[in-house]
Amino acid sequence: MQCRINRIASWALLAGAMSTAAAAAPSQTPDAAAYREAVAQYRSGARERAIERVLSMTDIQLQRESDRLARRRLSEMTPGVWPDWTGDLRGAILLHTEAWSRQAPFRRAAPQNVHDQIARRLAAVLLSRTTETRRDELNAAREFVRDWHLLVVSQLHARLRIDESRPRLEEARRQFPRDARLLLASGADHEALSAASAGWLRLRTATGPRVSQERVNITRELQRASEFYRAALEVEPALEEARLRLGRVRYRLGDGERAHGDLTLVHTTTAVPVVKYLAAVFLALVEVDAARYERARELYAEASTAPWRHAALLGSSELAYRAGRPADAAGLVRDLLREDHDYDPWWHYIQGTAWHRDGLLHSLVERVRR
Amino acid sequence: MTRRAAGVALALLPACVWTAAVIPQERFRSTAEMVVVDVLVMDGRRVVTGLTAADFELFDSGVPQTIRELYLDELPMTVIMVLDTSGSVEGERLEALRRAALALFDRLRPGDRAAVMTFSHRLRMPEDVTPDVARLRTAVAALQAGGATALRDAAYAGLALTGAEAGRTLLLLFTDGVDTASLLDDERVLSMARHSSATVYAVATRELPDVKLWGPSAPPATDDRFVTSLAQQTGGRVMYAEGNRDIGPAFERVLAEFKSRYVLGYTPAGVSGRGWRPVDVRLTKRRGTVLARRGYFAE
Repeated sequence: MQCRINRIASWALLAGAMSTAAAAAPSQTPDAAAYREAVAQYRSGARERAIERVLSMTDIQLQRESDRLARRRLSEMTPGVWPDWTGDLRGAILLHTEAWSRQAPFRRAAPQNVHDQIARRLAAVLLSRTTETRRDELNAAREFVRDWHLLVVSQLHARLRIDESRPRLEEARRQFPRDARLLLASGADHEALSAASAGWLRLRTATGPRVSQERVNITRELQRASEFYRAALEVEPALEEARLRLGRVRYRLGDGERAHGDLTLVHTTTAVPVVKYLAAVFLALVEVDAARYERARELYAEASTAPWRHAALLGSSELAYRAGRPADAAGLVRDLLREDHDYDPWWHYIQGTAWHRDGLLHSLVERVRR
Repeated sequence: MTRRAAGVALALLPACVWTAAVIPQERFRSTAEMVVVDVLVMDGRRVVTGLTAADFELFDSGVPQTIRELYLDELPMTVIMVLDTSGSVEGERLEALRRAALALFDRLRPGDRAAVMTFSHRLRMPEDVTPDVARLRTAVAALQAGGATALRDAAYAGLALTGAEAGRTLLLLFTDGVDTASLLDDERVLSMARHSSATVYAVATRELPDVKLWGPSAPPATDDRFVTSLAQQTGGRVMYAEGNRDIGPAFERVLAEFKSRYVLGYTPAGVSGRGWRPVDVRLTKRRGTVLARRGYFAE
């Protein structure tokens, strides 16, 4: 209780110091005040207003004020004025990332976006400054930056901007070389590109400068994906998404036996419905190729009991057709076409790490909430 | 120039199914198991019409067969329209697609039927197979676009639906994009196409959505290799639309060409056993290219 009282007292002192300092801070320009207000709004939960606010500022204003935040200008370093500097730094990183996301057009190359540049710089500052501080603070900061990298990559994957996510992942892996989540995301990046076709590359070439090859080397992309998934599992053997994806990639590489092992393991051990569903569907495809039709039928039947079943019905239909039951195959397709459920995990699986976007953003936002 | 056929085509249809649904009963009544081959004959870029059974020779597993029936533009047909309504179609292209579909419905004859299936990442069936053109028109008018592109899954689903249809079936596949969302791979879908009795015509755009870097000779922006293989397996063709305004004319060309095809019927003789049977259709008296299915699976 004494400890709590002390903490409240110290917060009261800080708040008092802040208001005094703010009142006695003639050096704070309107831009600086607006910028700090936007960060404060973001951290207090008024994210939309904060984003609108920074989107209305000029690039020069944003560069100058974020620079001020990064450098903690001595003029504003009066003790107590900026008590939660790293918190504001994190808030600003997310604020600029969300602003960048609003401005980044779908499927188009990102323009030289000031918000993206600022977010990256502030993340680097956060990592470098916290090396001087306590171990737990350092770990929290590192985890924050790691998750921020994952968020950015998930946003790029959601926009099918795979070519741009790759250098971001390389940058992240330089900072966190043995991080299982980043290794998983890197594998998903290669897996997503392996599904892209020549037409997609032409589209990207037309809309962005970075895709120079005319064709995706599918096998190479799948092999790289497999390497990353295996590396992720070495670091974190229980990472079931890595096991699921490894099984799928091995199947696509023609290694049905190992794919069967990976997918069976995930299917029998996972408690996550989405993972269970996908493991059943992927495993059924492996079983069909091995002519184990009865086992495939069981898996599809199990998957079809999930709240979503678009992919399961499609697979079931294909199995029926292979088994010489075209009328059943057509009936299952009609069932699928009548489905009004607007969700299937498969639709998200194929978008790399895009399905983690909302969860990551929510988690990060919670960590900067004041 | 040889008269040799460039390809072959065919569908194995139990006569009871075929006759019951579409063809005047007396035509195939005597057959136990009639094989029908849907054939297009071209001379260069021109479709050849006016041929008779005597103009064709047909080999089943290398064994010459007697063509018992030949139909030209007489049989009712079912058109399964499989339309790409992914995000890239949104806007002007969707309007052009609607107009093209509506114009095609206007050209259906009494006895013909059609269905409208759409795909983005998700497959939908706005209107199942029906002779009711008003229902089809309503379905097309309500189309909306958005999402990713599951081209292969859609092709599979369309083929599966045609498997339940008796008679001549045209699968008209429209796409302007590239596959980003299919569960099924090429081999699974193409294998199904080899089994299917439908003829696949694809209409694909060459123009990239919102991007006009290339002129009329631009490379296809679609999954051309897959789409071409799919059409070839069934004896169909790919028609390229150079822009939105060309979608309607492309649909018209598809329908006109489909109506110009010959349907050859024969009862296999001198061949036995289950499994794949290659079929070869050739012209006997004139030059030309025969587009047809390359064989069929005997059940």
